Amino acid sequence: MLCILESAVANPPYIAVIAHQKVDAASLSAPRLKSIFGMRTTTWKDGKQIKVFVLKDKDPLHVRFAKDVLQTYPYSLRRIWERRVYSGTGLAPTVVDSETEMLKLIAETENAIGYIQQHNIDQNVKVLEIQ
Amino acid sequence: MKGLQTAITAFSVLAQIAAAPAMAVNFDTDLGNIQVHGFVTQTVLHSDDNNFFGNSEDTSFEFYEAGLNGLWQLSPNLKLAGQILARDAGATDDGKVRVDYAFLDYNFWRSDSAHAGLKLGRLLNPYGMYNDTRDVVHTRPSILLPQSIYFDVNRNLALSSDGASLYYQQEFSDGGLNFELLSVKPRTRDPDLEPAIFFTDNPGGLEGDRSTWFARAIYSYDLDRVRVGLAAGSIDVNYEPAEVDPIESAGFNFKPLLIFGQYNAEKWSLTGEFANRRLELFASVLPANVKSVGHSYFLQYDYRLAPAWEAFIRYDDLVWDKNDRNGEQFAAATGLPAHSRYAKDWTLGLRWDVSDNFLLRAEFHKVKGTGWLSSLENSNPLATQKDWRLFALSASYRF
Repeated sequence: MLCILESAVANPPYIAVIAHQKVDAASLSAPRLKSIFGMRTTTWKDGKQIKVFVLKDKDPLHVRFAKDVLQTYPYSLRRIWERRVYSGTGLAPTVVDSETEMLKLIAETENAIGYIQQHNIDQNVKVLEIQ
Repeated sequence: MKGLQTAITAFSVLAQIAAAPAMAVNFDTDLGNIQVHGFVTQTVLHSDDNNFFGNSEDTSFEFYEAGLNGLWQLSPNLKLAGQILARDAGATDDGKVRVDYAFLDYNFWRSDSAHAGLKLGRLLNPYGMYNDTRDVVHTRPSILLPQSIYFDVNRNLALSSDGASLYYQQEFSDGGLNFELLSVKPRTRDPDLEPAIFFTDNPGGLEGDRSTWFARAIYSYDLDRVRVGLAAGSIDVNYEPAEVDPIESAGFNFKPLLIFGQYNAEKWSLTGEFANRRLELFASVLPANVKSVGHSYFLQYDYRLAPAWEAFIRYDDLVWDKNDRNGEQFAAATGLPAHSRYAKDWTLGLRWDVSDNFLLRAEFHKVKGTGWLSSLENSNPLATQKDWRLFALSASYRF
């Protein structure tokens, strides 16, 4: 028990990239993942519009996702999204309030992608392997 | 039936906006995904000498921007985008609602790592780094854009124009490239455009010419860690004489060339832009065409002090004629002040993101020269002061 606690403190929970069950992909390259959350790649391989979900800018999980997984900063993503939105270039990601909401929306929304702490994954979403 | 569906969709979008949302209005319809965003900013300005955006010597509240912006993704390859804006900026703008942009975007070709498309309608001019979103304070580097490059006295002309564009986007393993080419007719409805170009107000009017083009390439490395770009254009505007008019024909051609770059680290960003501006005026009343080449550049350093707090320092330099940097030849020829031909602006600013939607900003400018002041607001050029200071405070809300 003590051992588990110690390891949880030493290594913060792993972040998993999740998608709707029907999404036509099992894995994504790291550059492709960056491009999707930077809203540059906007369609899946089958041509369907990708729907991106994120937590709020200040959410600790979002901060970790931006820094550790995408290797950027929340402010940089925010600027990229704002430039898209206010110049009519494209849609911005949908912001959700909690991991529970994230999990529910990814499960319900076709072509959706998001992220969550690994221990919160359930069988209604697909986990994408990042290579 | 499609028409009715469209009407119902439009109505439900309006109903959601009316419900005063805290975040973007975002929802799915049978006809695709729609997002609506909006923003409003009120700025207060005070200067010790010279007027900028209203009677700033007495403190001016005459600078506000309010816009509504919508994007309708009809299919993965087809979208409609538009923005309406009401803007007042002293004598240089009138507070009226205008369409900033409204276009159809058709993505006609796509591969795994690239795509190309066509836009039709009123398009944003691909001019430098900040023009595309110049009215949204949240996306600007400061309350007032660096005026040497983003003159606010001819904002409508600079912002957008009517026509068509081709774009191409390429993804690489560590970044991406965007290229856009526009063939358009410029907008010429700025109150201050004519006096700014011809130094006088004339009975006729200015009309944009269809020979105008713009091009821009931007390379973004690793989600904008590094962003560099090159932009060029040629803008033709003709004078349409009134029925009784001493001027039979006139016009101008403006050829800007811009180079810009930005580096974004966790705590700081460094941004710079340089512009070479080639201007040629012709008029039947002038013995010869008037040609000049101007230079503009700015360098800005941003520092993120704490979450939600950011400070910056910037130097912005404008020269109207590179062969007459201090304006003395101009002063000798016209009797007008030499300091009206340049502006050197040191700015210090602070940004506080109070919440996701609410933003407060303050900045202080110490300026030498009046090169980017409006003649409508400073009607007697001889009464302008060479050294002056400007303070601005703004409050913004967006969703």
